[in-house]
Amino acid sequence: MTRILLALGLLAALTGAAAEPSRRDAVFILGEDTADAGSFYAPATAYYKERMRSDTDLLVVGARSLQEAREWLVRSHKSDDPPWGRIILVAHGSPWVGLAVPLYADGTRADLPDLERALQRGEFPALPRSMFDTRTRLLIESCGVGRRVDLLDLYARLFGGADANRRVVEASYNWIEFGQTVDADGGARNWRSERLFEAQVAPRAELDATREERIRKQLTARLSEAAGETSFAGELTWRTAPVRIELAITDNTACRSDRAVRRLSSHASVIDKLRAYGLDRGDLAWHVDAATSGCTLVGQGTLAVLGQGSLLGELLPE
Amino acid sequence: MRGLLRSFIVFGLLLFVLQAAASAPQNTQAPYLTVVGEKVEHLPLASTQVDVLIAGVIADVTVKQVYENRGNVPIEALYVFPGSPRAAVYGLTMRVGDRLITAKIAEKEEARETYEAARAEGKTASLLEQLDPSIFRMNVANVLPGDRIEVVLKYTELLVPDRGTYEFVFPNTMGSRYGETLPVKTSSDSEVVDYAFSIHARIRSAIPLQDVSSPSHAVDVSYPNTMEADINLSEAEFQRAGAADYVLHYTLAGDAIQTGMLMYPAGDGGYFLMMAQPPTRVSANAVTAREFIFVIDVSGSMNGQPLDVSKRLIRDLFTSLRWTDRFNIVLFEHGSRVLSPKRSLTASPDNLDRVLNAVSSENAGGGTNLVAALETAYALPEEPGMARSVIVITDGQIAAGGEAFAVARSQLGRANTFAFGVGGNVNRPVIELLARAGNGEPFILENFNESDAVAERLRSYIDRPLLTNVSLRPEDLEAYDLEPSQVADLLAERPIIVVGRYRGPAQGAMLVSGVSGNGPYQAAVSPDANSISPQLSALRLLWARTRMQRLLDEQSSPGWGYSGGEPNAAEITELSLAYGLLSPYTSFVAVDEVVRADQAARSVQQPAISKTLESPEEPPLVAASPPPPPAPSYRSAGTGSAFGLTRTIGAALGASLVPSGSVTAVHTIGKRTFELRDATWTDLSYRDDMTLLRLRADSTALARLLEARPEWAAAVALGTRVIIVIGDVALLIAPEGFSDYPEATLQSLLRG
Repeated sequence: MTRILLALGLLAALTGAAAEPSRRDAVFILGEDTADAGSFYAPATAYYKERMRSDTDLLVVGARSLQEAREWLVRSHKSDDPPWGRIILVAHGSPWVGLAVPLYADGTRADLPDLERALQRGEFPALPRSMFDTRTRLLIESCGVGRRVDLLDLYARLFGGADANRRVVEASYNWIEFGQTVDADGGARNWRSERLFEAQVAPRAELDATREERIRKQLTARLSEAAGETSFAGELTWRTAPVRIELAITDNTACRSDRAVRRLSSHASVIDKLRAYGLDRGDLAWHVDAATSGCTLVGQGTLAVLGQGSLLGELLPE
Repeated sequence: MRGLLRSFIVFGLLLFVLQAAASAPQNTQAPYLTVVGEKVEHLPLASTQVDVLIAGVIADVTVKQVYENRGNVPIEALYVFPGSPRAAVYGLTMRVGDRLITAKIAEKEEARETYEAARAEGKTASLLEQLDPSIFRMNVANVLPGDRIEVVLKYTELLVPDRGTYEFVFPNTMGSRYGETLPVKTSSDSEVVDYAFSIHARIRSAIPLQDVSSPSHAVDVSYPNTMEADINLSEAEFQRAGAADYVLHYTLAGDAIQTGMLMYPAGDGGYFLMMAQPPTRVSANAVTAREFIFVIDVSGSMNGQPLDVSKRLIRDLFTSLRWTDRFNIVLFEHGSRVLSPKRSLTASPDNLDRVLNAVSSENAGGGTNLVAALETAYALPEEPGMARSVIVITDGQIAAGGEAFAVARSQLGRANTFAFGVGGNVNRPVIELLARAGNGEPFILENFNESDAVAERLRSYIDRPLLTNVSLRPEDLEAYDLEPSQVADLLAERPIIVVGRYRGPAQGAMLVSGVSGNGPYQAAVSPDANSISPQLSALRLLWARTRMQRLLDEQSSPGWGYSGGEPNAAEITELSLAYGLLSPYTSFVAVDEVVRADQAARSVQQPAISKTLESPEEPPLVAASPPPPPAPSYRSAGTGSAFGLTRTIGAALGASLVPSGSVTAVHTIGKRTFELRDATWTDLSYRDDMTLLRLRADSTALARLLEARPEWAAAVALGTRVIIVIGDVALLIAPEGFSDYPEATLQSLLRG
């Protein structure tokens, strides 16, 4: 149940397509499995390998950043090649962190401000039109990243540039799983599956049993609605993760007012921080910790997720 | 007459066994016991009991096999069983009824003569021989009806973790190494209904244990404390447990890895083991630039699927390359040809096509000459700081004995050598020999349905060199007789392991230096108080076993055979006798001096021959040279030593591969001053909040910039990573940079 979130100018490019040589696809497996994170990249590789036209398509397992993926696309594109068909990025991720992948080969995981900064400064050159045009599609295989329109737009701009007509990006609203099943006759079948999930951030540092039960019911109802069923019967996984945002305030006077919490939590830097994770101010409970010089604004909440399957991968960065 | 007939049958059977050993590999077998005599009697293998004590990284294994003669005539038994190929077999006892016989070690012929004489005299005797690195044969003569025979074998081996997981394997099957099925009784025959296999393991660790499990058997694990574990087979496993190899996995808390140096003092000196482990998580930055040279056998037997798989392997590996990496191919049969003799090719799709086309266009021919091909590959011009890996792809039907081993081993400090055996009838010993030459694991593909999995396993094994140009230098330690004498690269899946001897006190450190993806690296590996112990006597055996294996490999004709020249035979024999270790030239023999016809029941212990345990004095072996001194403008700001070394390499590598200490340098070029920060020559006017453009050093875009601004060239030439500030913008020139920027951006840079 993949939803096309941004598909601007797609139809305009269809004219004259019949004469064009077939486009190549490129798949990037942007990570590797670790013992504590379960199996995702290996079955994803097998899944896409099985579906590649090995003589023309590109399957890259060695890239670990968006920059490396971009360079593979440049270096694997010959001058008489048509633009790329599909560019598929496979990586762990979540609606809160986006793709768990660095922007640069020598960098750390990129969040929303990192992406915005790189674009604003022109540090990450988009692919030229000869490689990424209005018919090129960027597919993001990462859990629930389809829920973050703002991030998707940034990924599209990284590869496709500022031209809105070149921003065709797809990502799933759901949790993505890859796996392999061995049939009775010993044959292996590689599969990709999407799992429904619903999430909510509660403005509490911890959930008591009553609140947890209430949230579970709410999320179950939303899952049932998403699945088009009156009651959801499948086996579900429940996960929670603490959310905590801190902002040091050096100005003592800013901490003294009774309305300090409300005022400080409206500060632009706080809003920016929240925006990076796709959160609103009301998602967290706020308080001020006084210190000898200034104070610290603290926002706390609990992210609760209920969904099908294993809900593999991290929800939030540590 | 009966004795004569028995001798004849024994001889005939042994001949058959030896012929089988040299034949093509067959299917997996269980160990088997053959009864030699006029007819086969009931002599089932009643039980196998294994006790494993794992202390740190060393496993000490005691294997007790129990047989019962349920027949009514005296018999002679021939028992063939598997062992770990890395095992150092150091002891054997045999109990017949209440008689305990401790075997001595002797030269092979002498041992057999002793055994034959004892057998002819009606004495109970046993003879243990090594047929293969992992297959052993025991002969037991004059076993009387009603006897209960216990054979106790002791060996030790080193456990090397793979991605943080330690693995101990006790083989119950002989794999495909040994010969075809013999027309004799085996312990897995249906008449053996009461056979029991049991294995108990105890792990004693210096670091808390995290997880203990067996992927092969159901086990019950109990933890007396956080550092110890007792592992027993679950009750339900007893019936089937002996039918499969037993595998035990364990990890330490926090993904820790036991690393560092262990020392065993013995006399005026002793033995040591140094292990340097890669971190369990490897960042992309830590991987050094790589050069892969495929040495491909294009002889006739490689036609068809083997060559197709070879091309697929190259294509798969290519997808994991960075644009800073290079690759090349050497094709060999009678002679050898290099695709790009002057310099290996960059990892571009065009070059991949060139490589694949070159392989495709080969008309596979006759004979093969691997040695010349290896020499050609190693002689190709080298790129500084680049990890070179040579991957030999062959079905093994080639001339690749001790000479090939010696050539590959002599390059251990300059190139990694990996062996990939492919084909329907791979000559495994050749592939294993080449793998040992490169200090790596063999990769063998015989079932083409598994090609993806095997190729992926090879790729993940070889594609992440973390430390290259590795050298060792003892500091305050008189080390010698290192095995190996040169050190291969540290890979993400392969540690550095060196065993050696030392003179004088157990002290000092081994300095490990090399080049990581982040620049020069150096660290000291030294023992702590707990790692110098007289209880580590296994180090003495492990050193001797390692040296013996190297000597065997050097003189090897293709595979494990000794039909050709054996220039190292005397040295191997001497080592074996001195250290009491089983070898192809020596055997354990035990003779009960009582003539069993009188059925006397008394215990006999026959101690091993006592020989000096020390080898003749040899001059100390000089380890790899220390790294060249830094350029004159460098200065060291480290603490504790010139390079600010960490005490053990584990601490340094456990976090990530970063240059240790704080070796810094400053260069002034025109009005700009550059300082070496994190392996990057950084313009001192650079600020973290600046716009930072990243360009690849070999990009056309940079060439255009330098053409317009030649005064920047000196700064660019400072190193592989340089940051130059141009107006409000900084430009990072690095191997992992972008290949281009929009024209407007470049023009803006030129305007400064």
